[in-house]
Amino acid sequence: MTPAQARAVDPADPLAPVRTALLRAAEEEAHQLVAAARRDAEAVVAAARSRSTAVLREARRQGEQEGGRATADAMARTRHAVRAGVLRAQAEAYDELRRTVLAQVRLCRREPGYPAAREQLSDQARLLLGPEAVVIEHPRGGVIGTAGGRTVDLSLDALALRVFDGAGAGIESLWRT
Amino acid sequence: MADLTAAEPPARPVATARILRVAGPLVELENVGGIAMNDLVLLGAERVPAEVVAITTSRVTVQAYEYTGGLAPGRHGFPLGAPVCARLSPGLLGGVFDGLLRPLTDFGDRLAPGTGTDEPPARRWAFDAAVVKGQEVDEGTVIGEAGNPGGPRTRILVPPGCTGEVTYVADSAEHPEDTVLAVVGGTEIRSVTDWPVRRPRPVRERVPARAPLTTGQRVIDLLFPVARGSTVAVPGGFGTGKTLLLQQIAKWCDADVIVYIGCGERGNEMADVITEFAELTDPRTGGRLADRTVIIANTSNMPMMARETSIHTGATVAEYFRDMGHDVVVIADSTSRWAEALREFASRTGELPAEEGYPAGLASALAAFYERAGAVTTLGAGPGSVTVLGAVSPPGGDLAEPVTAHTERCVRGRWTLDRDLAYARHYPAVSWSHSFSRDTDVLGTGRDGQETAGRRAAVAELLAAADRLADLVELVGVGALPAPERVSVLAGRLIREGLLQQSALSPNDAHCTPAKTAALADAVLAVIERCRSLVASGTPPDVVEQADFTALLRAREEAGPGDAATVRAARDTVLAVLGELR
Amino acid sequence: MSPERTPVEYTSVRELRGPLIVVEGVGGVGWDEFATITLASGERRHGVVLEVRDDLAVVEVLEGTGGMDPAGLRMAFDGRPLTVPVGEGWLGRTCDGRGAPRDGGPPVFGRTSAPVEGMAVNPVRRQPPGEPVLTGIAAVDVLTTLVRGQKLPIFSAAGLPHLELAVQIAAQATTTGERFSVVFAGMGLTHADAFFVQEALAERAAAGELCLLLNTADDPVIERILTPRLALTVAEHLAFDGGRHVLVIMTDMTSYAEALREVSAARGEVPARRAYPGYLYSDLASLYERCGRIVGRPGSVTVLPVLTMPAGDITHPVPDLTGYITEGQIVLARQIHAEGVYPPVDALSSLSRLMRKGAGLGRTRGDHLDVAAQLTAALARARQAGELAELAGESALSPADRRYLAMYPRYLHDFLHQERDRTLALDESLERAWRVLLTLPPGELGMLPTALLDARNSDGSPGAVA
Repeated sequence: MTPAQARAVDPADPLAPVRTALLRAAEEEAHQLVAAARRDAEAVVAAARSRSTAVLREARRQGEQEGGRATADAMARTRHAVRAGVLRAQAEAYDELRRTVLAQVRLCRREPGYPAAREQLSDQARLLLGPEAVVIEHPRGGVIGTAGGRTVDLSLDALALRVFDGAGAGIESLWRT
Repeated sequence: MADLTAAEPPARPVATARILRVAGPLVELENVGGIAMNDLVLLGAERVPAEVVAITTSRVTVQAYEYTGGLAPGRHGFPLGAPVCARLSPGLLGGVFDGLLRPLTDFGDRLAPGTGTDEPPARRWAFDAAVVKGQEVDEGTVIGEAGNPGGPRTRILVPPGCTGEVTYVADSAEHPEDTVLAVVGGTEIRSVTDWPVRRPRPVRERVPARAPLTTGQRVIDLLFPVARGSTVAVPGGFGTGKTLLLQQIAKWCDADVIVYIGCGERGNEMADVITEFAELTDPRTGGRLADRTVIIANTSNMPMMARETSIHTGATVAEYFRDMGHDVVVIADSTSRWAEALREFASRTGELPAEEGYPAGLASALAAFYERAGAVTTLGAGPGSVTVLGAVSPPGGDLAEPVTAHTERCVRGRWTLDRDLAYARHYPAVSWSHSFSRDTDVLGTGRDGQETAGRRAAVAELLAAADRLADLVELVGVGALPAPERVSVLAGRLIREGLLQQSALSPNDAHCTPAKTAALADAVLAVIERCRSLVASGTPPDVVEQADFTALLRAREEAGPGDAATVRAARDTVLAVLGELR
Repeated sequence: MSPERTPVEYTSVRELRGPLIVVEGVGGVGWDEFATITLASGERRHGVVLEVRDDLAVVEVLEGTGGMDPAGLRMAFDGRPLTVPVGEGWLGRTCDGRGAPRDGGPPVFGRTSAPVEGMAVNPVRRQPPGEPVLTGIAAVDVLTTLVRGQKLPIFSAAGLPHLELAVQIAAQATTTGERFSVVFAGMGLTHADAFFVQEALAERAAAGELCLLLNTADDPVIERILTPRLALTVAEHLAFDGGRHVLVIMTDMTSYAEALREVSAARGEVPARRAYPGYLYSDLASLYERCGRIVGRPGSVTVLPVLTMPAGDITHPVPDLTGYITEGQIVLARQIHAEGVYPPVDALSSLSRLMRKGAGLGRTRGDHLDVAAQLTAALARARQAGELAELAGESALSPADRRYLAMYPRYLHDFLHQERDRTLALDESLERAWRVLLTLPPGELGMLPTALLDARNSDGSPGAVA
């Protein structure tokens, strides 16, 4: 799509409900999600630390030179485990947020403004594909338009994921703050 | 990618044509008429420059000189109704340009496509008139000089095909670039002029090349000299010091103007050339070396198709200065990368490939480039010349590959760089057995010429003899050879180390005048002759071999570039050492 | 949050051939645009527009067309070339050749994104390189100093420890006192090699100084072409926007070139030498030339490509064209490897063209260049002596030649050889070089300033002992 077309549908803004849903998810649940992710990461870090203490104790019992190397190895393993745990926790937070956003956006169908939003989406489909486009409602909300060898996916799921994927660095801030 | 739909009409388009196909640099447009071969077409809103390379009744094929990402069928191209031109102006000397002769200083840190076609900043030049109103002038007449105050000056000429009375001359003052400086026979003359890059600029006549170009490199000036207006190919594998040798020549040869075309080469190397030339002093004029140099930089990561034009652009710039009566040297590093651009585009147009995928027209394209060299009588009736030195980068060092093979048929000299010499840190690694110069005969006339020819013959003969013995020495050791042959082996070493090697990093040795070259050659020959007579009269060869030749071998570093006296003193020192051996 | 774009997807597939999809009925699609392909199963693949003609677009699929059914296939175009997020999010991460996580973490994010093809640096805005990157490898730091902004390849052959050396450099290299990062791009690695690389660099990754991009031998071939571009795009932004000195290690460039050849053949292009495409030089240059420094900006990108010479042949197109582009080369030799010496650097065939600018007083150490020149000269002499001794016997050697011959094993074992996990400080490496040189008679050390030599011999350092 060219920017000219984007501007044409801008005033109607059929994405508003999606954006509201995402913002709600971000505000209400993000803190919980991040807190959970942090707890996970901290647990992993704590476990790794206690393991490394055990290794260190073991290393001290062995000869000094050999122990030096064992300590270094243990520290490296520990750092590695901590790092892996943090990444895993971040990935879980990310996936959870994504699931939540999808669940939230599907709830939009029950909102009073949904029929109007759906009509706007249908209009956008015809704008993109031409008046001869066939527009049908998607089972989970939103519409799909087709015309000849072309199609546009304006389902709520697709709209939500597009916003979500575009948020990139914003999502990252969940575990940066 | 910018928005290609917001088409802002470019300057002076003569038509608008719809784009039908885009495949990298190959773009096809509908034929709307009024388009000629080699015409410039600007593509899309970004005005990517492109050149017409084929025309059918319905379609026009162009090669784009910049990145065509985002160009789509249905967008528009704007034919300008004129061939691809270089903008020739007093701003060339000391400048750095891209393949289309746009100043690179007008671009930012990175070369985004299309940015170069924006309106350049207005430049102003100080003009000094050389003609007066009412004067009758002919094509090629100098009407004045222009340039930055204190900077290099460029002559402004009456253009080809224009004669008559001077009806207007501007004041000798500073003027914007596009001001009319004079009117001759109704033609307006400005400090800038556009010239189609593929059309050689006219001359009164071509004349035989007779005067030597002193490169400052001994192995070349002594063994494989080049005349002003001649052509030389410089083939060499990677790591043989090709670029370093060409840079040395660009710095120290006795030409008036150097056009250095970095064609598909390293970016850091170009950065080096640019900074170094700005810092170095021209030994002949006392000015900055940069002020006699025009650099055309098209590094290997810049758009490939602009490489193809950069060679022709460079030749056009050289001819522009030649027409002012200058001796110009064009250095093209490397013509192989230019040939690759030809190959790349040919493969996209579906042209039938010849050897190694190169188009069948490779040989004629190479010949057309080298034929732009020559010694001439200019339209202004003065002498001028363009000498072309073209680097060749043979894949795998294979000298039988198409670019090398076709090039050596259309040049008058070849300086082959040898991997073994480079490996042995013998620089410049010009091979004496695989290089040639067809200019030796015309340069071997007159007293100086004959003397030089004599030295050349003597040195070449000794080198050949030493080479013949080299394999034998490796097998049996030098001790097993008869005495005269042992002197030949010694002679080879003295010539290589005392005469041919030259250190680019040494202030004394980086370049060498003909006087010092002659003195060094004479010194080495005299010492060899003395060794030979010693051995002939019974001195054991190992005594001669172990004599102290240090003074002779160090003379090239100890004596300044023009200091023949120090060389002669070194010769006398060594001759005295040998004298005591009796 | 700005309104997101809704892409029109195209479903009329005219042809599937090799890695290519031809779609018809498209409008306004530009050359080199990035495309997202959704299969009927919901699986997503990615592609790049190779050609647009009238209403046809030819798209090359990064993941290949294997298992694709034209029915139910949808293709959306991005309106711009392939871009990736850039920034510090890449540091500490391990991803595949397309930048998808391999470390269990979330996708990599960045505040901005940049096209993977990059944009050429204006030659007049390039700052000539002038300071070293210290690798902690004696042979490299002393004899072929790596300079910030340089491109210096390692030429190796199958069976030699080039991957070990590359990984050791990735783990150890520093620019003393300045922010430094490594981007490691592995192309066509076996799983065993990928595992080794990950293990060996875990510590640097944990320290947030490393981005690891691993394309394994069984990953799609086209992804291999993307991997170095991704690495360089990430590096450029860490360097020129983040002010870091970034070392990009790319291994194995021969696997990369083979992938390029395979893709070129699939596109039906006219082949040049040994069936590699005619644009191999320009393609390699478009990668290697992304190194450098920019006037007025902090940071630098230094590129260290590693390549294996098929059958040890240096005239093979990949090493040959690489040699034409890069600023020198570090050559590994089988004979030295056979002696059990690591790293088996052949110093006489190796060269760092920018060393003179990046080493010496104020950059490394005042005596560095003299020591390096003297050691190289001594090695050349030792090699000649060795060859003569083989042909004519050791008795044919002059006394001086015999000293050189005796120096060679000392050079191999006391200078060149070092442990695979040992970082040698530059001073230590230079001292090793001095100890080897001082086994020669003082008369043979003419390249070393007399003052230095006298100081060494008088202060009890190992003198001229045979």
